Amino acid sequence: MKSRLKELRAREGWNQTELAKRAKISRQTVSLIEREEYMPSLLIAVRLSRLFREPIENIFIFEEEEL
Amino acid sequence: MIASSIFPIGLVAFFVLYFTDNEHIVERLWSSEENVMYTLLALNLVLIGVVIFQFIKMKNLSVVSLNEEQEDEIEVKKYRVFSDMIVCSNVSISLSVLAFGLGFIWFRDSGPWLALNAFFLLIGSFVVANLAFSSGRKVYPDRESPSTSEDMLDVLDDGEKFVVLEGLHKAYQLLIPFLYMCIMASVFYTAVSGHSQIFSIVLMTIILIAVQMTYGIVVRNR
Repeated sequence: MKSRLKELRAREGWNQTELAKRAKISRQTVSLIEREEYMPSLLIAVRLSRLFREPIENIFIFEEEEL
Repeated sequence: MIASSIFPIGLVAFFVLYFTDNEHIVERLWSSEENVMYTLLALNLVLIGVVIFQFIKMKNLSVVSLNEEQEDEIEVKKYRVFSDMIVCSNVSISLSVLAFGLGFIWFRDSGPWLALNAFFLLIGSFVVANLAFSSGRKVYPDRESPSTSEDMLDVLDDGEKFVVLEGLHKAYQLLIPFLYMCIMASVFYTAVSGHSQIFSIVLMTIILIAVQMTYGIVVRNR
C-alpha cells in the first residue's frame, strides 16, 4: 500500500502534530502511516478522507495484487 | 538488541571459563561479594542520574518556543526522551531489587548498611520511575493518566497499539528462549558445582508455563 498522506499534508500546510490533532489521532500514528509501516483502520481512513476532501482510494493506493 | 547479544556471549564466556579453569572460576568470581554489590549500587546510581537528567531535559524541551517545522522534531524528541526514561527507570528498579536481595543474603549480619543502601536505592528507583511516568503528561497533554493496564490500552489509538503489539511480540519472543536457556544453565550449574538451583529451576518453569498459558488463553477466548 502506498500512502499520499505526506503529500496531502504538505498541500494543506500542516505539520504532523497539526494533522494528528485534527484527525484525533497521535503524531506517532501519522508518522507510521506516512512511512507506510502501518495500514490505518477504516475509522482513521475516513477521518483523513474528510480532512483532505479526497476519497480514501486517492489517499491510500493499493497494488492490484494486494486487493 | 544489546540484551539479546550480551546474554548468549555471557553464557558462552561462563562455560568457556568453567571448562578451562580448574580452580572453580564461579567461586572466585563471587568471592568478592562486596565488589559485586558496589558495582550494582554504582550502576543503579548512574541509571537514577540518567533519569533525573532526562527529566530536566524534558522540562526544557517543553518550554522551547518553536515554529511549525520544529514542532514535529520536538514532539519526536519528547517521545524518545520519555521512552528512554521509562526503560532506564525499569532497569534501575530491577538492578536495585537484585542488589537488595544479594545484600540481604550476603551482608545481613556482617555489613547490613550495604543491604540498607540497596534498599534506599530501591526507593530512589521507584521515585524516579514515578518522575518518568509523570513526564508522560508532557508527551500526551490531552490524555488522562491510565490507572490500569486495560485503561492504558483504551487511551492508545490504533497506530500506538500496533507499536505496543510489535514491542510485546519481540519481548515475548525474547523471554521464552531466555527462560529455557536459564533453566538449562541452572541445571548444568547444579550438576557440576553441587550448589542446588532446584528452587530457581522450578520457579522459572512456573513463570514459563504461566506466560505461555496466559497468552494461549487470551488468544483462544477471542
